Amino acid sequence: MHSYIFDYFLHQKKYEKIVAQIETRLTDLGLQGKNFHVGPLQNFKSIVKNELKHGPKTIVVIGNNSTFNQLINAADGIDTTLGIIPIGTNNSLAQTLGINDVETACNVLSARLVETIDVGMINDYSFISNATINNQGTIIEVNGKYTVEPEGSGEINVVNLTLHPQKNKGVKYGSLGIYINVNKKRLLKQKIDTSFIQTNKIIIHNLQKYNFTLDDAIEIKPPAIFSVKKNAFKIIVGKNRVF
Amino acid sequence: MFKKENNNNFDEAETIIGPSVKVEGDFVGQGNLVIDGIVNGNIKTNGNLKVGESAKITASVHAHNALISGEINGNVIIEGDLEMTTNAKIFGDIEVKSLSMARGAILNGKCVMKQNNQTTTDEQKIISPK
Repeated sequence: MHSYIFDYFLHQKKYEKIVAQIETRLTDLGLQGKNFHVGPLQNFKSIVKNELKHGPKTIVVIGNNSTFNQLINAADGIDTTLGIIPIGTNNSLAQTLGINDVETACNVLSARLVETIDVGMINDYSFISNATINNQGTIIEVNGKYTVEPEGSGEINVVNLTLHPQKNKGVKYGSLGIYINVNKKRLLKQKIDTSFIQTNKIIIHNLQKYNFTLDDAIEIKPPAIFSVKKNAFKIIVGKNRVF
Repeated sequence: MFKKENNNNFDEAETIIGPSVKVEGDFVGQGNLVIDGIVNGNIKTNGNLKVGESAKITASVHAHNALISGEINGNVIIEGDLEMTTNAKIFGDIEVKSLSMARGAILNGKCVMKQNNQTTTDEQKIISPK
């Protein structure tokens, strides 16, 4: 049995038509199931928690990065397969999974290609793809052995290497990759100096109160302890996934 | 040939410390390491080490092979080949299996050459071999 959770922003009138199309398409594919709409009286976590009691085969969220991030945090420690149908903007996660639009998403659900993935943990919160923070005032403590401090403005990007294997050939799976990008002004154009470290345990402090942005959606305050949770979720992916 | 072999390996560097980054503490790794920034602390890796022109390392260094173009203030132990390019500066003792130095490279310290797992006391002091 499939359970479908429609995010709160899909109550807007402009999404009425596409939501109806999704419901029709899923019925056509024989994938109909229970539909839940997040609203003022039914929050995301309570829907997932109640639904998990019935042991659904698959939970699919209809929404964006933020919706999928909420799902993995609400469904922590369960054996159910997860999926996403991307709608609107901010859908980089779905693209990473090889799902670019609604039509592809429905076909991907029908094909049901499942991959088990690691997730990154920041304190007690999970993220699928990446966590970013401003360089300024940021100090990275790696495995309690050494610290790394960027000298200049830029951004630090902590990525789940399971989903970003193409960025560096020497990656160790089951670890996090830390990209430290520092902007360097040149006469004609700006250059970015990039450093890369991979590890499975880091602590990041920020002295200027910048926050982390997880999966381009959720904000978390530093200091943050990062780690990796291996084989955390089974996720339905498209054949054009990047990992 | 030596340089080409090293460059091929460094395409798969496990860690890259860029020129705009400062590292403090002891770094222990398994894979290849590229350093272009400032490191204050010991470095130990089972892989290869590349120290760029802008790099400045203040600590002891231990690696499998190394290509040095920057500055190291500390003792260096290399299990295999050490290549020092024209801008390389090492202020400390070195222990290597084979050594290649370009004109202009600076080595201020004791040099011990290891052969077939036996350390020979082929020590010599080299100062700016111009």
